[in-house]
Amino acid sequence: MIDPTASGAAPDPATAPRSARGTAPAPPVAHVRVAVIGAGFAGVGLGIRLQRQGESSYLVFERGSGVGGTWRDNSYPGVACDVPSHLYCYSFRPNPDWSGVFAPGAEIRRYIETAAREEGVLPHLLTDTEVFGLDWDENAALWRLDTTRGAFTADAVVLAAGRLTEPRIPDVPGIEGFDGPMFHSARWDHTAELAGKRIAVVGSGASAIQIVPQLAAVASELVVMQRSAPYIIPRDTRVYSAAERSLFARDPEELERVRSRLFWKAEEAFAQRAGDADATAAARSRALAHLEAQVSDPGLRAKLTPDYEIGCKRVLISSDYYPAVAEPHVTVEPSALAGIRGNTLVARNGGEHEVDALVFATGFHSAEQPYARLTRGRDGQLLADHWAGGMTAFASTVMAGFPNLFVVNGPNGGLGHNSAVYMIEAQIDYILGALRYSAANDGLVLSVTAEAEQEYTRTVDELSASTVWLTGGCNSWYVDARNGRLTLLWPDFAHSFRARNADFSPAVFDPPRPVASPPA
Amino acid sequence: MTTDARTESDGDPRVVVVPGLSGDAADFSFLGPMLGRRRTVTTASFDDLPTTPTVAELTTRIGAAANATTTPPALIGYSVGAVAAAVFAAEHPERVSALVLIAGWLSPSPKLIALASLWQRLAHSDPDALAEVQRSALYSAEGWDSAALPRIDERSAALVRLAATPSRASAPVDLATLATRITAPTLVIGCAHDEIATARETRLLFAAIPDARYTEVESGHGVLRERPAEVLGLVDGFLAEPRRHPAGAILGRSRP
Repeated sequence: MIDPTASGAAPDPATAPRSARGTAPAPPVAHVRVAVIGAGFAGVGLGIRLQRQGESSYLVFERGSGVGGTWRDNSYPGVACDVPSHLYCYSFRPNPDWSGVFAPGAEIRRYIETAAREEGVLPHLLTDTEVFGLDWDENAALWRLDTTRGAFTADAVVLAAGRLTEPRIPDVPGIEGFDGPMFHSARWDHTAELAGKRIAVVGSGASAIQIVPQLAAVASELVVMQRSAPYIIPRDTRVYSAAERSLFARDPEELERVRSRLFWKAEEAFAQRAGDADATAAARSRALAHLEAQVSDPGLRAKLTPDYEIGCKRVLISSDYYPAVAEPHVTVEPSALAGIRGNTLVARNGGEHEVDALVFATGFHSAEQPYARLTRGRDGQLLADHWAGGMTAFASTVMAGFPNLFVVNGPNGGLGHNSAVYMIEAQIDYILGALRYSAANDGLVLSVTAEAEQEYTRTVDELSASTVWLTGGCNSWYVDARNGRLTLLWPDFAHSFRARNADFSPAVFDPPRPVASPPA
Repeated sequence: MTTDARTESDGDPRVVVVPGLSGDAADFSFLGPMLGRRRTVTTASFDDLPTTPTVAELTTRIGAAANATTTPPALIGYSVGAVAAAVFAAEHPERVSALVLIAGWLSPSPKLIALASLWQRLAHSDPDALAEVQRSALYSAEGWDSAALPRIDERSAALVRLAATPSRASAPVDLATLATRITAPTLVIGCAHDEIATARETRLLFAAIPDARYTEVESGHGVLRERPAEVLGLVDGFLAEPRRHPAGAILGRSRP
């Protein structure tokens, strides 16, 4: 057992959590080999893999009250995934029971919950536990975690905290004076009475287009505040028949074939993102034909026609959004929300709309991750400072100066065209490879070289340069506004991410350091 | 669309792609630009073929495209282009750094010969019906949403005629013997539901090449439309490290 006071590091008020709950009297410091932060797809997936390897010395810290991550936070009406379900699940835990091509969000949450329970991860899970400090102790060669359940230490830490977790609410004047239900899409107030009300949805992104059809069905009037129109392609709303689900259950190879087919089909869409003119034109035509087929009014159609190249922002999938906004009681205001006067929303273009309820489907803080302000590596360096020029990591997973620290879904670890779970699994393979290597070498501290991280970042920047995310003429959350770098997405095929990044190689890591003598 | 030797982008290593029965660079409309993100890709032109071309005619075209590069290129052939690429690699081992053969064959299957015969019968009298029949043969039931009508023109007629000719009739020696002279590391990609080349003939081609490894994709013969990204993944992985898998290896199917 290690004494937490030995580090001698005083909490830095600058990074002390604003939301830290009252800390209990410090229990003895528990030590684990691996501390995982976050219990969404990534954290639970890693827990399952550790569990299956017989590793029992790990803990999963979760600030929420249960597992599920995104699928726990987002419970808004109509929430569903944009990636087909047989692809949006663990390859090592296929699910024959998916109800349809795209499962609703609650079904995905249940899938993660069931996986965590059946695989034995729950006894390692600490819910309602916020980590508010994460410090590398060079002398003890371990990480010190300060949490709302006291102090812990770990040989290695995996940041599996997600990337779309902190709701972004626009800072509009008059917001505090709004009288009525008002909440963010990822913090849905299920007690709010919305039926028969005049409702505004601020935003027209992935969440908004799922929420709008649901609210249009109950609202007396609905206003959609749209800063920029999204491209939308048709959604395959097909549910699986009983016979199909039975076949999936009886023949695991059928499940594998379906998953493989979905994956490689999704991969084809990367050609549109890579700037291939023919593929881009075909995708644009498909989306605009969908708009034309579903919206007959030329004025509305013009408002809903994007002014940037397809793929620059996330391409959305819906067959009920356009019909919903074409309804007579629904208004698309093609302008940003500029201010609120009483219960009247004032758009930047001067439009005014008086409403009873306000839903912010305005996305998340993505370029700067909150955990970066809590994490200090060698010599007390803050991860947020390491990332001041935009998030970087070697293999999208390890950072120079932050030994034995791994980040999933972090720098260039996301995708705009295929399943995030596939990426997570590739990163988990890398992390497990690293942990195995360290264990096989007397617990060798793994510290990637700065050169390797820079070289990887150069490659990423080169691959990014020709992609639609940087050339498509839009502002998106994929790009770090501070420096114009594409930091959220892997700028290539998903399969190339796995080929490049799933296998751990010690070649780019520092050799072992001489053991420092402990402080007197 | 012109099929003159054209480059997709600058970069190394160099790649020459050899089209299939259409003779059209459009076979590589996905693979070409995507390989071209990191490499220079040149398409062998099958324009202005004689009515009854020989394999030698095709290998000459491949040679012209390969000459456009300063270092020996990787050669990627599809369908009849795979047969031609194999012959070229056997005759000029020093001019090929790596070889990828997609949906090729050692000998034309009886069904390929029958389809070629139908082609000659219907090409002029009922080209629309012919296109429908060929589409049915080209694409698998599972990949049907990717199916496109093949173009019926003089060039495709010539290539189909050549494809159905047993290699010994048009090449100096038969492919089974020639293939043993291929020295480049080779990846042979078969299609599980290939009704034209047939997976068995593709596997025989693999078996005849000393330094070859084999893998199979769930697709019909029209794999470059049915599963282009999967083929890209295989080609990318192979070109990055051609001898990662030993000669003779049969690689498992992808499990993403």
